[in-house]
Amino acid sequence: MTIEGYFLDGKTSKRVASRLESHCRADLSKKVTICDLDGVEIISLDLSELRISSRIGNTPRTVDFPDGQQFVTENNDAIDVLVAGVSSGSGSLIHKLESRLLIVVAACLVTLAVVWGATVYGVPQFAKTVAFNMPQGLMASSSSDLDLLDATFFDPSQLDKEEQQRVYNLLNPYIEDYTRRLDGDSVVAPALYFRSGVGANAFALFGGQIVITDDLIKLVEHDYELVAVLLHELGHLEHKHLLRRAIQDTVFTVMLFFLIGDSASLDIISALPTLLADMAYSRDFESEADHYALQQMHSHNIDLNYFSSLAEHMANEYDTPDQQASNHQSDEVVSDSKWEYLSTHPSWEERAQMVEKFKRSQAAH
Amino acid sequence: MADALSETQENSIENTQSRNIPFEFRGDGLEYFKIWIVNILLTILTLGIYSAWATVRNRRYFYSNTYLNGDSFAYLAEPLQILKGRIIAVAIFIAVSFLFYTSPILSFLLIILSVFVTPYIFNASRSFQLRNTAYKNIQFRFNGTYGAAFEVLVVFPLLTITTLGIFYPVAVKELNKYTVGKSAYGATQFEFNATAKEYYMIFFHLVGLGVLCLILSLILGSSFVFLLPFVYVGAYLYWFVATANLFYARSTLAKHGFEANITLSGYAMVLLTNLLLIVLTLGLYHAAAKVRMAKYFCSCIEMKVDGSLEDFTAAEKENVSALGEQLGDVFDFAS
Repeated sequence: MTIEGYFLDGKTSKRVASRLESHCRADLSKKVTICDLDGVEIISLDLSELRISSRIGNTPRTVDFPDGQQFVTENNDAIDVLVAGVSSGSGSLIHKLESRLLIVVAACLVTLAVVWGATVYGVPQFAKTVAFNMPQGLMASSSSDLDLLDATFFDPSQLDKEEQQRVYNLLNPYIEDYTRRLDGDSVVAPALYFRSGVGANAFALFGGQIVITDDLIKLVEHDYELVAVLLHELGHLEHKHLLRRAIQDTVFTVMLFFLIGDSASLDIISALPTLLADMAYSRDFESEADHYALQQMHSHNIDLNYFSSLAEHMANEYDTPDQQASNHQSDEVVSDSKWEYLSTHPSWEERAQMVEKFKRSQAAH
Repeated sequence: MADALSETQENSIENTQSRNIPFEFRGDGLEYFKIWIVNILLTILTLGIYSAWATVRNRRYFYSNTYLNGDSFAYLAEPLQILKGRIIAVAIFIAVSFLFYTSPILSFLLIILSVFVTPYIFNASRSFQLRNTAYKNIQFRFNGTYGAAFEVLVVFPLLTITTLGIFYPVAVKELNKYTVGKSAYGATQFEFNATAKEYYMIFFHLVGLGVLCLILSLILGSSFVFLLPFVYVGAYLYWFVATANLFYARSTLAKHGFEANITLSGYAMVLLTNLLLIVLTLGLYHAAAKVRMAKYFCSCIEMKVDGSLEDFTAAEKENVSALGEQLGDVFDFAS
């Protein structure tokens, strides 16, 4: 058989119009000869010594000789005939898969299902398993977290010593209760810290430090609301949320990297899923911590309404004036829902509803 | 014989005339979509192992469909090479992420370390990409040095920050000069000869736009805030298009030059409709979007050929590890 194409010697960019001719020998091996258009032989070799590129769409095929010479042709079908039965042909198998409509449709469905399933169930479950089986020693590192945050975001607390002592006396029994239940199981024993400078907020850090800001202490109207805050943060520690979030984000990024695979296709669109997934994961953790707080309040016989009133104070503190206005006028909670997917925390209305749900479930018992 | 005759005539014309030869992308959105989705399916079924083969197949599709003067480019990397680099890169990424989340102090040290590693990764990545790109069976190459890379990737960006952005046009120019000037096609070095002044002209247009916005915001008051995202995106697109055109216009290969006529409206149109369709199709349009963008770019870029493209010569072959490139990719992905 004869295939039209051109020849490149690999030393210069000079292209020579030429033909590839193949002959079957008696032992069924094939001999390949490249000739220029006048029929003068340029190079000749056994087919088994050549490297022939696999088929991709309708792109040109290359026949590479061991010494760097190359024959190029756009006649894909002829090359397929030439290599038939010689190369193992995984390349052409993939080309056949790509040409089957059924395979392509199935691939779409499998891809969407797997990515969805992995994001919603697989990655969180994996992170949970890893987080709860990780050797504690690995986590013992970081008492330095707070130092770094002090140097960057936090200011010292402006509360006077007596007020700090009062809040400490209020909250510490719950921390001790938590530590007792750990039973030496964790090297991360929680401790309470007072800071300011980042609005009304509370944080649980990797090292078990729980930070409560001055603004938050001023914001709450009842001591038990502060207890609810503390229990929420203890919930983050109990469920190892920081670690799980770190694992989830990392695993999700690696998954996306394997699927999309090179940074040439990196753009806002590949960054978007990571961001959305991270925010969804964060919301789940907040709900889990809320649930833990409600359970603990219940077992300590604290009225669950303190959690609702805390949620209300936070809503007033953090909703924009516009939102507040619309909430007050029409009393509707729907206004927040459209932003649900773009938030790291559940809305405060949602959290208030959660309290009601929790109460009903307790009443049912 | 007739063929041979016209071939000789063609050659003789080629040798004497100076002319513009357009780049051309012959890929097809649907065709690439099939390749892309089957790649993803096989990657899922092999728990990620196939991803290296997928990457090679995807890149080969793009390189092989890009034509200049009737010859296509070629992507040469071996999947196994990429797989090895990728596994090590992902392992390093996981370790670094773990430290980053668990220990702020250590992650602070890692950021410092990354400043010194970045030039190495940039060079390794660029070397790998160019070594594995060929045109007419001649490979490209990159011969950067750590010191020069450190200068354009670390020192100049720091200068940009300390001068509140005034140095930025020079930093961009120097980065392009380094990237292009250290690249070669076979034994022939590329050159980049833009001036800082040309980058400052683009920069000043944007500063002008900024001043205009400031005045508008004073007149319109707070309602102007809603226009800000559009102004921001517009400014970004303008900068991208203007610097891309300048990039090609000032790059040369021996006595040949390049010319790009990317337009703000054309580029924005392709980009925005791509984004919209990707969101509407839950990401499945991603493949066709890449093809559309490649088609658009190729349709805007020409090579100003002076004489023949037939007498480039190859340089000696050398092997470059895929690790640096994969490291660059996975950390790009995470940032």
